[in-house]
Amino acid sequence: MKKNEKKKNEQKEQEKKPKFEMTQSPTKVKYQGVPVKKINIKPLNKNTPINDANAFIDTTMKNIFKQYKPTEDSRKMWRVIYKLSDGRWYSSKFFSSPTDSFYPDFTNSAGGSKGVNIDKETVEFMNINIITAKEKK
Amino acid sequence: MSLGDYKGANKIFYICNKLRESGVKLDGDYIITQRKKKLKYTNENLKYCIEKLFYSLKYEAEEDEVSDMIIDFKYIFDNELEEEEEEEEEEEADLDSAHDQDFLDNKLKHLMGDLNEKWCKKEEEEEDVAEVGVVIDEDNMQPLLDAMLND
Repeated sequence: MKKNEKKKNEQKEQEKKPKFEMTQSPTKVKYQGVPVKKINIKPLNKNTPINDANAFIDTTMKNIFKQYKPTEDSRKMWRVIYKLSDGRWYSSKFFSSPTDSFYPDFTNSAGGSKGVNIDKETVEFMNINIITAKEKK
Repeated sequence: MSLGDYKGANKIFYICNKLRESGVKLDGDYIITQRKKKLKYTNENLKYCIEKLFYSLKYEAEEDEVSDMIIDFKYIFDNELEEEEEEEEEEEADLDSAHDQDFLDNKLKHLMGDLNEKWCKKEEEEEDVAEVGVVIDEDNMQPLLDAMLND
């Protein structure tokens, strides 16, 4: 019985963890002349709170900066974008350092916004833009 | 500042802004030209207005590329500029050349958000057909990390 309960609890814990589906899309778009790579991330749990999405991005970026080794002539930059339940898209700036802010700027969205109620809105879609800035020789 | 001083998205925004200033408007399925002619909206008719603008501003043929870009990003012209028209009118009186850059920087921020929105919408629509997703969570995020680290 105890074993079963433990298993059930573990299963419940697992179900609580936010899950996401990742896809990649080729784009022809350039940002300041540099091609942009785009990763789409769709929350699989319904009503994913902004805090859960932020925690996921935090963990992702911590892992990225553990694994990422910039070279002298090439540096990657990332940008995180959320589509919230208010129907608007919010974006961070491009960042390249673990001390930068990863989260989107919720005070501004495409088309203008008066700010977001972080406790009320949920995340419908996320994406990560990546550019590789290469130093010209 | 002239067209040649701007690059990439700034250039698109500059042209969209000039189009709007010259009286070009989108009205549902129609486009109102500089001479207030109401034409069915098509890429060709938008291009016609852009070429007319280039002609009146004495821009040269290299702008073919720019007109194609604007056709791709027509929705910027359609939505963003129209929405902010009132704000701009208030600001216009104060805008000198030093303010122009701030103004464009601010617009660029919106523009990038809009571009992103366009990609996402399009790809959301295509997603079901085109791609099989990979499920990730905090315990299994290596596919995401690989995608973020590799070109």
